[in-house]
Amino acid sequence: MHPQRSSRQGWLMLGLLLLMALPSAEAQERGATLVEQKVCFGCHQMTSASIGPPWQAIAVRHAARKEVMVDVLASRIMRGGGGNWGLVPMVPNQRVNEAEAKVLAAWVLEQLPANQLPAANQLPAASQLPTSQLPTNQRNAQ
Amino acid sequence: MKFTQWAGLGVRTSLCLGIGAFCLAPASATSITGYVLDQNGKPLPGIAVLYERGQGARGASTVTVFSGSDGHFRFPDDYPEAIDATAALATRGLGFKQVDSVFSAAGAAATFTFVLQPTNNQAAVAPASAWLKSRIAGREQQAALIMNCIDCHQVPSLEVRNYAGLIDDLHAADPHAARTQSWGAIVKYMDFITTWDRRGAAPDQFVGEETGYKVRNGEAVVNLLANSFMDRLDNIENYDWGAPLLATADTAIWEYAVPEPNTIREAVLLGNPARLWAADVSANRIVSIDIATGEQKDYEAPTQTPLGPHSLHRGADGMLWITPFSSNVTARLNPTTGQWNTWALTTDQGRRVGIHDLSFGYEHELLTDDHGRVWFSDIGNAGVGYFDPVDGSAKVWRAPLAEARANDVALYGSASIYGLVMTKDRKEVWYSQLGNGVFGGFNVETQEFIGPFLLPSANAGPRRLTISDDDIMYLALYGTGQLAEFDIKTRKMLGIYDLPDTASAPYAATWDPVRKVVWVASANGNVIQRFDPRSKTFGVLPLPHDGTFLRMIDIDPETGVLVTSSANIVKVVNGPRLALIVDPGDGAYPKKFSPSNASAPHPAQ
Repeated sequence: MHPQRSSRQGWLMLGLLLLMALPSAEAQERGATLVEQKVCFGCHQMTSASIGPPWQAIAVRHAARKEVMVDVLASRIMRGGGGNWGLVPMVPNQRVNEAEAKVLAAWVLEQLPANQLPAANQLPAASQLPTSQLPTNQRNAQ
Repeated sequence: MKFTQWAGLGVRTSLCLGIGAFCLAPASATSITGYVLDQNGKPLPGIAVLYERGQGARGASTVTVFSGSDGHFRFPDDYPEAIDATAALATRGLGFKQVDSVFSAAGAAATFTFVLQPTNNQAAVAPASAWLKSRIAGREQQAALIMNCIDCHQVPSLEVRNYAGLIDDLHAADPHAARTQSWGAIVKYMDFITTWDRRGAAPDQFVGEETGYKVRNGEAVVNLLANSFMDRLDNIENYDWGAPLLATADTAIWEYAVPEPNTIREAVLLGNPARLWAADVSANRIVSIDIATGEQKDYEAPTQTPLGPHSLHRGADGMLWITPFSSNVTARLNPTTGQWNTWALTTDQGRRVGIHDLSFGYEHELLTDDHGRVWFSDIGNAGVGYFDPVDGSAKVWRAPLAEARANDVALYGSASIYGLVMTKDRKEVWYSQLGNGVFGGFNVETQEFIGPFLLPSANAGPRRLTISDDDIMYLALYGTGQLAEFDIKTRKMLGIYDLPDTASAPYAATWDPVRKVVWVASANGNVIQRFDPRSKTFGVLPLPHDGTFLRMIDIDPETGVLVTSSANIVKVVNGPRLALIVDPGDGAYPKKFSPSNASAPHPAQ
């Protein structure tokens, strides 16, 4: 392998990643539209628990690992599953394709409350969240 | 080879000459035949062979045949598209998986040989009913779950089975608690999603922690799910259809997919040449399908309020009669001219009429009484009534409540009137009450009710009825998975028979006036079941696709093909959305059905 070429490719990749990581207004708008279209609000709300955890709580928990979590959340949206927020697995949303799932996941990860922009080394765990932000089943368990 | 055969070959191959030897597509139609064998080369009979042609194909989107006793199968008609090794042909046999497919071509003849091997896990082919039967504790629990859930979708549908796997993935310390909470959330979510589905917009209420079960018996349903579906629902063994297969090498099934979104609730063949007419209950339209070309055209009902076409009836006048789901408008469509007539019906007491079924007789055609009045079951007003097509007047009589079942409310409430048939002399109509296991009659001349009669279980769930040419009424007992045989002349129950699959949720029964049998449409079993009243025996015809949800069967009086349709009510549950034509292949009717010679232009609107 040519070392120079490899390095150039690396910078290119990094640049691309940075670009992708930036929450563009357009992507956010698309995300918000998809949330409506795909009926995500059937199970989620912004700040309070319903069937699933509030979007803000998900964003807070994963704030430091957005690049990784965007794929994890996208997979969860499409295929369902869970166990991270209580005893109710997420229902797979069969009407969402992979590209849409990534837009949705990226949108969720940007829903941080205005007063909570955590430092990179702080990874909020479920126990650190206000009780009101947890689904009922998990709240009872605490 | 004779000269004419050579000449034919020349025509076939002439279009291919330009692209040389690589041209696989014959220019004219190709026949498809082949064999289904096991790994030792032994013929396997009764295996379905599906040709998935896709929407937009000329003709049916899927054609299915079955292998005969020698393993041979032959598709009806020839196919204009290129048939090669990549053609979407596949086999489907309970307890078998396909391990090899070999293609060969000779001129305009394509041949496929499929090799199958037995498999213990029948998950790929077993219907929802197989899972339900094998997991639930008993018949009463089974009936309760059917009555509460299968109105909208099969149980357990593929989605339900997948969700059971996700619950298992939790590896919860208390699995029962996990199941109860998870299914509880799902039942609440379903109510939300159904509301959203029907309104096409978000309901103003979220599914929050305070949300209760809006569906009737919500908590009981959750307990049934949590106590029944305790494993991953990915393995099923030892299911069998429960009766001999009716499918032979002469059986063929044509499926016509209708593009989404739709909820195809019913379909009939009507017109000359016949076209398929399908009711889309989720819209305000009837879909006309040219069975030769597959071309589809919508006929929008000329009404302000969406009709939600629900039940279709062939009229003896050659008209298509349509009852509504979401309004009080009953309609008639002329299949030759495309002209509509509509009647917005209110009773003599000013109440809106809520028709379910119109009065039909043993030929499954709309019957009127001696005054030309059309009788109906009124699900909205819990009664039976008539309307006069001449002046649009209507009158409804509320059915008497069966006191013994007054507290038994399974689904819609104890008194909702569902199915309806008319006797041969056109003097009586007979109805079913879905929610409490009751049925009864009404004399249209004396205007007196007969009965009510109680079925053994309040959860029997009598849905759509049929009547023989000898005034024997057959009731499809959806909840308990049975067929009731009642002699109207003597007012005596002749028998209540378990269907081959008691979890198949039989939605409708249809008398076949030529074969002298009853065909039963099932919502949960992916089958059509046949009852022979002479021998009191059943036969089973498996359908090509998982999740096929039937609500009716009509029989084409010319060719004897069964005409039916499939769609889940809710769009979040997948499943076939199509009209089906089934030729049992028994040659019982003098004219043989063939889709290829029946093309006819759709009438203008």
